[in-house]
Amino acid sequence: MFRVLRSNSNEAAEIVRDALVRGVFSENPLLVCATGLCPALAISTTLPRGFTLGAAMTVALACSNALISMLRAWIPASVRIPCHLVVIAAVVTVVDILLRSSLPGMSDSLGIYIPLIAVNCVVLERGNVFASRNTVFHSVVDGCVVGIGFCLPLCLIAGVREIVGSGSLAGIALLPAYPGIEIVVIAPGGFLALGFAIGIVNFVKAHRRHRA
Amino acid sequence: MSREPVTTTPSAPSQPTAQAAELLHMSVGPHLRHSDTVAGTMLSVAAALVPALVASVAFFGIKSAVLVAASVASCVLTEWLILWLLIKRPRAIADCSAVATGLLLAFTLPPGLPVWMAVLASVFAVGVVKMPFGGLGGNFLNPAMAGRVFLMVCYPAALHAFVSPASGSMCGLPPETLDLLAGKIDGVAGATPLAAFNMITTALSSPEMLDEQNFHIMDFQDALVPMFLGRTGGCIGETSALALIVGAAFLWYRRVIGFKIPATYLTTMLVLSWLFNGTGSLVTTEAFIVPVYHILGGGVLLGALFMATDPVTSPVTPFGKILFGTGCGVLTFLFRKVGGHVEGVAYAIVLMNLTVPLINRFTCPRAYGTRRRRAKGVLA
Repeated sequence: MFRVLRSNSNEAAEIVRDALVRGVFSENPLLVCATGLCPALAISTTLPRGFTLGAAMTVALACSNALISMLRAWIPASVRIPCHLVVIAAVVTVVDILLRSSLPGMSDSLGIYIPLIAVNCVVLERGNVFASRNTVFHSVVDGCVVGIGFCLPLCLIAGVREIVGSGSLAGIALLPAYPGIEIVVIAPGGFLALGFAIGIVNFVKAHRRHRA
Repeated sequence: MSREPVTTTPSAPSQPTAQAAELLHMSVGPHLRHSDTVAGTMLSVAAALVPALVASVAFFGIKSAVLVAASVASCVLTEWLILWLLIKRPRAIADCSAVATGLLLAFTLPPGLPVWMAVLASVFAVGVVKMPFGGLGGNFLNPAMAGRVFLMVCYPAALHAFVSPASGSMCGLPPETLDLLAGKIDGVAGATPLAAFNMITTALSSPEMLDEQNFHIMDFQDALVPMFLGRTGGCIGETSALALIVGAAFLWYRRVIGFKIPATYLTTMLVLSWLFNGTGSLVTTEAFIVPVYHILGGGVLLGALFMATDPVTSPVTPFGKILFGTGCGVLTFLFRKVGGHVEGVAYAIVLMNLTVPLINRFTCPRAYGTRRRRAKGVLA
């Protein structure tokens, strides 16, 4: 990885830029690939929760992608999924312990959804599709950008849900005496918000295609 | 309406070609047209709801008219905004479907509801349930019922704050009966007929009440006439059964609604509430009063006549309609009897709306001359 960086930093920058476009726009795990929906639906009620889950997912993705990529020569193709799972579970356990020690309140609030990153489709898919076939540098970059692509829409959806549903943002009440729309904060609101987000993305894409 | 006759390039002399052209009219379909329009249908629905609107203003005062106006206005405004900004077809608002949605939504709300809640429900009904799925003809739920369910989830307490009518008692019972009950059951006087019925039947099943000889369900028949005319508490459109039946008869005459869905819905409700009436027998007069109470109380008539018959969200096939009506009736009765809600119509209709594509698929009539597919595909 460092070999690449030292010898060809321009190429490295290009790889990062391409990966960013890919991870956030064209292959966005949440809005385009529609993976990792379950934690997204459950966590996106308030902005801090959404951001914490997104950050934890990014860290887990980067580390697990790096490890899987380092081990890709030794993992037989027929048992790659269980092997990847072991690696990812180890990484997620470390992330969970770190989170529990540094932000105990947030960790309690997120509950089981941090350990569930281990079986999250996003992490497994990137490991299987990308990290097992590419070099460590590419895999780390891919993990980071897919994590950012998961975190950004999650924060947006969580922010909107929090503002519309309870009139506050990150716990700070924005509108006084806001009655609150209950349906947005509970599960149906998650489905609606996610559906609208994916719909907006598709609408913009179709509009672009129509104009181009 | 045909266009100008199309003349082909004449290679022969013009006279026979012109004659031939007069005989041959070429036009673009549709070749058979009817005078019905979407706007006409929607305005018929609105006209059919006018008796109930008049009755509600007579009973509850001007606040019900204000709520109806707010609901209609916000439905129309939401649909127009979405049509203008996103779909770029602002003239489609002229099909008046938003007006019908607004009216029906307002009729399911209690007259004392804050206006902003009705506006919010209208925005949800049009902006979330109807327009994102393709606008008119694309909604997967009845928008009015979905708006009501939205309010039931978000603000359930506000939906149960009923107002007593200008004349007549809240639960339809005459003053003598209310005095009789006053010492024994709290809160009957302030409840809608259906809630009062639930309270009284629950109280009657307790041991100390069974010893009382001077009250039983026969006294309920005094409440039936006010419930039929509408002088009881309840939501804006659902109190006056008479007005609703008149309106639905008009719609049936104009062939906007059929009879299968309302007939099966109401029959199922009647049969189920007769079979499971709380009086312990099937042949007493009380046993026959209870089903009538169930039909007249709550939004069953409004739901069966106007909501369940919405052509977009009800099945297309005849047998499908019967299944749909029966399913609505069963679910409404279950939600009322076993579930925690006093009123089960909204959830029942919404749930059955979700099953309509399945019903449509599996009740297609078999084409004449074909056989049902056998396991091994052997056709004689």
